[in-house]
Amino acid sequence: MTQDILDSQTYVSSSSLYYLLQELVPTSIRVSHKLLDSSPSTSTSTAASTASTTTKITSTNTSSLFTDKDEPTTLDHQLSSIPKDLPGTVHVLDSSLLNNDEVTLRIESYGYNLGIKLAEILLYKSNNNGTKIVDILDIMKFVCRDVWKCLYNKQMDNLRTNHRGTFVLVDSNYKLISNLNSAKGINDTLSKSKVYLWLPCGIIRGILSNFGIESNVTAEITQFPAVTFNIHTSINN
Amino acid sequence: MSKSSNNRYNGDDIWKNNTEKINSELFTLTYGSIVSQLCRDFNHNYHEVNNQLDKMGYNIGLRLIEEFLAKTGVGRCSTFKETVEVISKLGFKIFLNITPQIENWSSDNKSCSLILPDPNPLTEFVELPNLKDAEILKELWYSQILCGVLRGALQMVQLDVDVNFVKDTLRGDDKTEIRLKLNKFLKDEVPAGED
Repeated sequence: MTQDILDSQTYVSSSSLYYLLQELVPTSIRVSHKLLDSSPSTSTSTAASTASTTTKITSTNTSSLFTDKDEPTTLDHQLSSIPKDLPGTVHVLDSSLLNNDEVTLRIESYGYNLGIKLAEILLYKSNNNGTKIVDILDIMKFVCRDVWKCLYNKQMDNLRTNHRGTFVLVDSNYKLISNLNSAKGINDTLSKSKVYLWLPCGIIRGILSNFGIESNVTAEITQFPAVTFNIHTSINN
Repeated sequence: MSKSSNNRYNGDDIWKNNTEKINSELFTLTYGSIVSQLCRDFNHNYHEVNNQLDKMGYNIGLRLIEEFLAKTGVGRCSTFKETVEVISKLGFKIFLNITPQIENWSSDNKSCSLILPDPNPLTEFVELPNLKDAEILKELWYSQILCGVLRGALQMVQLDVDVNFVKDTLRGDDKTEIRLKLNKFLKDEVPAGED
């Protein structure tokens, strides 16, 4: 159990993954911002252009809002039209979109897609591990041990259930938010960290979904950086 | 200076002893999900996808350089040639566990190419769905994030460098090649937008 469940042929630095995962939230905000920004102008654009074009409608319409060339990022160019969103700053998190459904759903679905695939490779490669997954509790243990170990190099710290389909998983030091610290104080840190939790929620939901279990996963920060995941399923065990 | 030159090529040591590792498949999968979702989000406007990946990379680069300097303790490079060696033998080594080949120096020693091994940790198992959408082969730079990372990280050590892909095996090219071109050494100053 202490050894990595995946084949040990190739590795990358875990910081590479964490940099990538951490960048997901700002990127989701920027993408949402861009898409929301462009949708009103699409609807107000002249009826002629929207009505006359047929199949190419989306590409022609969006091409005016989307760029048609590659633009290298530089230090003094804004990353999006969100105020003061310059490279190396965190102003993007001040966007009013931070807790918008568009953004949280996007982040959640990154996690969901990852979870689905992750469950597959972990299961495929863990067949020599000896543990059989029989019921939903085993699946939760799989999340707590194997999935968390693979993602964060640690296990979930606590698992509780009411045996009626509700599970509570506690990670007392959730890695992806433990480095976050707002200059405006702990309350600001908390409110901005919350949005980062949609990713692991999505991952858990994706894993369960791969086992054929519909679930509803939410997370809360109990005592920063401890995170409690509440998982509701319709399965009685 | 002598200390830094001793440290110069110990990427293997740092990788072995001082790097927390995760399985590269997990990394590949994660990156793949990001790229494919961006493609869907932007309705297959691949330039927009490239740019978004570049922005992610740039921001990562700005932060990653600190970890890089802390881990390697590498000192100031005296030439751009040395910088590129450090990028390949230390930078790529300790983050992605690969060591790209350096080729094709221009006569003024200001531009060169990094040849990524095939497959690299970003592109393993990746195939571009070119049958459905031929544009993808012409427009998408799947690993564009790397250019952003390099540009961002170099910016933080006062190097203004153009970094872009010129070839990618995913597009059917014979190799995956990143071109670097040094524009100028920047003066030490507070970066714009820093309060």
